[in-house]
Amino acid sequence: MIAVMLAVMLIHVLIGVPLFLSLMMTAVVGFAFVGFDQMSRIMPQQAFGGIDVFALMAIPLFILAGNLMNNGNMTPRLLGLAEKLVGHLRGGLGHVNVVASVFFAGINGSAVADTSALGTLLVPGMRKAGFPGTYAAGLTAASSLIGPIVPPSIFMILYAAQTGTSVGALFMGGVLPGLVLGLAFMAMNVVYARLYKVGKRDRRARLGEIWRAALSAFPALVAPFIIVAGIVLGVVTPTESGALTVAYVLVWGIATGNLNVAGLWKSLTETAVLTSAVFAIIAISSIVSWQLAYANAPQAFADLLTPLVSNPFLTLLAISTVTFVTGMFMEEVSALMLLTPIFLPVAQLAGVDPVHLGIIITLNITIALITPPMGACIFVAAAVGRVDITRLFLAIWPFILVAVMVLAVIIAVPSLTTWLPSIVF
Amino acid sequence: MLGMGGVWVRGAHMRVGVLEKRVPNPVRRVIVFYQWLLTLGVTAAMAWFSYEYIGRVSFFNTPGLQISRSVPVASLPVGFGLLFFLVLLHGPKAVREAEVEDDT
Repeated sequence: MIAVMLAVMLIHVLIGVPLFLSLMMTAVVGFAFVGFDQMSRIMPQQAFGGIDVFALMAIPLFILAGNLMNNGNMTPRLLGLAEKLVGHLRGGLGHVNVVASVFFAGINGSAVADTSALGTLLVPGMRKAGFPGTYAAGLTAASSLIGPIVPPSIFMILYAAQTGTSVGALFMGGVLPGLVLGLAFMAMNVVYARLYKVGKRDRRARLGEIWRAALSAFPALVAPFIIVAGIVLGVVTPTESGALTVAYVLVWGIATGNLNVAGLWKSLTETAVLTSAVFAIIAISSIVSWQLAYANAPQAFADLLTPLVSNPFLTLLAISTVTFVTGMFMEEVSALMLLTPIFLPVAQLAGVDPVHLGIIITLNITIALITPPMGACIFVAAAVGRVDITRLFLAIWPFILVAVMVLAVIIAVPSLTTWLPSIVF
Repeated sequence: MLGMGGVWVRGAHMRVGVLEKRVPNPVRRVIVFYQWLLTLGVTAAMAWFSYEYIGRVSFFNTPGLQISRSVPVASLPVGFGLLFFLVLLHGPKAVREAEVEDDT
């Protein structure tokens, strides 16, 4: 049953059918095994049940907050600060790209939005500085992976909604891995800047210049603290924190005149479009998840991995391998929704901390955003950077390798993910 | 769910169009027609199933607003219904894609 469903899914994905419809077709075929008499009852029930989750309401709010910041002139301020901090290093714009992604990660949980916003601004500049276009686009896509790891994160909210894990603990657990990922890409950029013979700026920015840039970017830098502090202190839920961030950005944007009616309208429509696209997948993947549970797929997978559960490291390595390969061929939200219920019991048997598992699955799913042939960030980076997608498919692999090495470090050192949550909670 | 049709018109539903762009034109036309037919079929079925589902949940109230549960559930048949009509209106055309230029 699972093999047939997978084949149907792959065929439909490959011929360009939108993913939620590919999933729906998979579900229809799945009912051939479950029984067509149940189809009319189960399909709407599971689809609505999948999106009728309070925690998921945070997703459109965080997307809206990010869009309001983009359209409210906050992104160039963050870029300005990053440029003052690391722009003087060799291959400076590459470092600016990574550091800006770290800042951007704090206000937007979507890697695709990060790639789109920073790619438009930075890829042309990186080209002028001497980097090949494919490298510039690749670094933009790769550094945007920090977005879903550093709070807030849409993937973490989805994981938490499925497993009952604390969103606050997951958010805190993602901070150190996100920074490690950023440092790894900066180290990589040092090597490539030498390889491409990219020069460096004459002088380091003066303290006064950094201070002025920090003051200008201050409103954007406050947002992550509103999000994290509110949740960590137990003052607000993640959903309320999203609403609070939207209110803060809205008030700041209107009060300072940075956000006009056109910008507000653009933010709302972009949010509605992305939310509709994501929720359609969540709803329909819930039907497929139900079918997989009906077919005892989680138990079968747990049985398959039982020999490994005595060793948490091997268990996580196996989980990561499956997620990585699945992520290459499946859209990220669908993969997360389908795989999490399968992996959770196995990881629990192996004694893996749910926060550690959450960060590993999130990072795995996030890496899938830059793996060919379906990585959404590569498509966006290719489009905004105006580079050939096939050449980018080849150029992206060194970045994937670096991200996988960081993943291996996080698997081997659980305290990277569990230390901060253990202090705070 | 209400916005699915609008997202379809904008070509913003997540999909992989790589193979579709690389096949000969006649094959491409068959693929596009199949996509159109499939979308019409599954959205019509889902709109009907979820319309029936509204009747089954109308006796329950939502915990917060204490309104009939059929109100939020109505987003399913309305959303899939709108998607069905928009797909029908647009006909079997290739789903819109973002413009991509070559790297030079």
